[in-house]
Amino acid sequence: MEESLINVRGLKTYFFTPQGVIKAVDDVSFSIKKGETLGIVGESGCGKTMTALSLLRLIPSPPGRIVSGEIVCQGKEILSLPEKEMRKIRGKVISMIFQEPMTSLNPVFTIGYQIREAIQIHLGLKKKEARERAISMLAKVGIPDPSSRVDAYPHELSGGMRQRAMIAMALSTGPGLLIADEPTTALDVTIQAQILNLMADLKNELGMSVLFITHDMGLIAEMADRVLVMYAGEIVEECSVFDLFSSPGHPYTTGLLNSLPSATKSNGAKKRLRAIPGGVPDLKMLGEGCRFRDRCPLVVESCAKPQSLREIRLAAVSGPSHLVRCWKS
Amino acid sequence: MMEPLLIVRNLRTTFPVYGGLLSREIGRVKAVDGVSLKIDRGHTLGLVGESGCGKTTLGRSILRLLEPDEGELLIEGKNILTMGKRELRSMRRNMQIIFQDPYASLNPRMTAGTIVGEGMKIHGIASGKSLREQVVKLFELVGLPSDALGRYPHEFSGGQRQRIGIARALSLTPSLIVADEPVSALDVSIQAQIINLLLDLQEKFGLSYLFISHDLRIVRHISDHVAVMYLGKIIEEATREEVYSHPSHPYTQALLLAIPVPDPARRKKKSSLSGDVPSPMNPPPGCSFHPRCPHMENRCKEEVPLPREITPGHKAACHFAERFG
Repeated sequence: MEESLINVRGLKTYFFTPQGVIKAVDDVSFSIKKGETLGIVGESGCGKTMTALSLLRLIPSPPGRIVSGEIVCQGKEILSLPEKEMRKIRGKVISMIFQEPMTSLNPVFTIGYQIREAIQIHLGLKKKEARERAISMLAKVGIPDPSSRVDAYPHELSGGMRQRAMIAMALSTGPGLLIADEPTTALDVTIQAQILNLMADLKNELGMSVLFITHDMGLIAEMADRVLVMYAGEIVEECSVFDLFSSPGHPYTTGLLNSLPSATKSNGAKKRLRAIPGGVPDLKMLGEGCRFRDRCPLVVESCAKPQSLREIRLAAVSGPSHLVRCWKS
Repeated sequence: MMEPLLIVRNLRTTFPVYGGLLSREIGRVKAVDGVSLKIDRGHTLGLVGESGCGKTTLGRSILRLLEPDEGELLIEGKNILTMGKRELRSMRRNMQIIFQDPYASLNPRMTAGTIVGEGMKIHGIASGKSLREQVVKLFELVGLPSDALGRYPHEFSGGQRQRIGIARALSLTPSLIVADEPVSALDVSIQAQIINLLLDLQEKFGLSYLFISHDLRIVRHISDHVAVMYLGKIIEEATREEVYSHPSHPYTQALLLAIPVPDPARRKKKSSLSGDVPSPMNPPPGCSFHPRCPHMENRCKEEVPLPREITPGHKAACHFAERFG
């Protein structure tokens, strides 16, 4: 079996608000292998970003707290590390790029300074060497004229260039895992295509693992090797990207795929889409049982009982196992 | 043949650019630069383009929410641009808008019922008990529970808020609705619900839509005709089938190729466009797409390509469109 880079077991991240406890991430387990791209897909509020932030222990606290679970990365249990040790993981072993590059870059420092900072802290290079490395990283992510752009401030760059600068910063320390949280959502489609190409190239070149978070099924199909589908804080399906699109097991996954307008066929045009009725449940008032049952076309009485992730196909030569949290599949 | 509901001819909307020590006007941005199009009754024109291409400005200029500099805007044969304030106000009943952000476009201090009923009250269509009845009907029509009347916008989910925006737009029984990215802020499963609602309403009331979006998948689903905009100009326009199966402008082709396909078996390396959209303050000479165009030739740097018919009903603004179509 391939070696896994990170192992997450039973992760629970809750938010304690005056109105009640929000179970943003509720008993989530997964692992990411070396060199693998794991996609997490789900709609807003399903817990995909909070899962990622938990890996870096960046949950805003209060009100949030990692209640229980275990995250083992390169032999270290992250959740029990002292803060000082944790800082050696963030940005060095695990890096992250965010949806909106303008708000995640500091507007009062040049991008060169911000990239250099990470390099100097984590790799112990001198200022001049760090600057050289920053320039070579900017060149690597396709920023034209990197030796002068290194002194540019974030507002002097376009959205696509800023996202490239973010990627340069995240990769400058040679991390084992890159978390990309909706990295192209704020970008136009032609720029999105550029950034996705760049990420795929760099991943192959540097051999890192990627946790790719998105709400877009199209991007999952383009980028991921294996996929977790999340709904209301839980993983409802886990399988290879091919299984996800050819034989989805959970009614929610099927619903998501059906509600997409066809990108290739025009005969479906102007017809009604097969929408999923209703909305996401209130995460403060979750009972037992399947969290999708109020919107599910297949719902029956026993869906009110707790559901667990079941293997509907075992790991085989042809690919990883296929897990579904639905007793009907 | 019936006359189109909306005819736009050579519309131009510019914004001043201030600069220098005294913040004097130093130039103008041509946000909409000589746009012509039409929308038939009961039809949908999808308007696509990347951010900053002028699609929102065009939508708002058509409703005269922004004042165009020149051009002609005919709705049901009447020129809106020459209308006085009073005439325009009564004309506005006919043309409504749905905004992108259902969080920012509803007044947080007004109840949903008041928001939806306000237009009818102002235009003197209904008041008192009959107003309430009309509002209840509208709520039913867009799929909101009638007990939602007294609730405030923050008590609704994003999808429900967009339904309130749609009910407000419908309240004056318009014939044209400008829908400016109406589903971009919504989750996929909710997007489909709102698209279905818009299609149902179109069928029921014979509405015409100008559907503005950057999402080519949704535009393909909802439109009869599609217009592609780049730096203030329409660079291609045709029926949906034509645009998607025979794109004739290199920019349209690049946009279509950049759509992520939800099928991992067809994963391919994208031949993406290089570079960014140029600043509309300082557009390149000649064809404004030439710095990014993979088929650029010398002529493109000097001569502005005018939109012309490539095949009947299919217009493209490219010197070499026949080669690509």
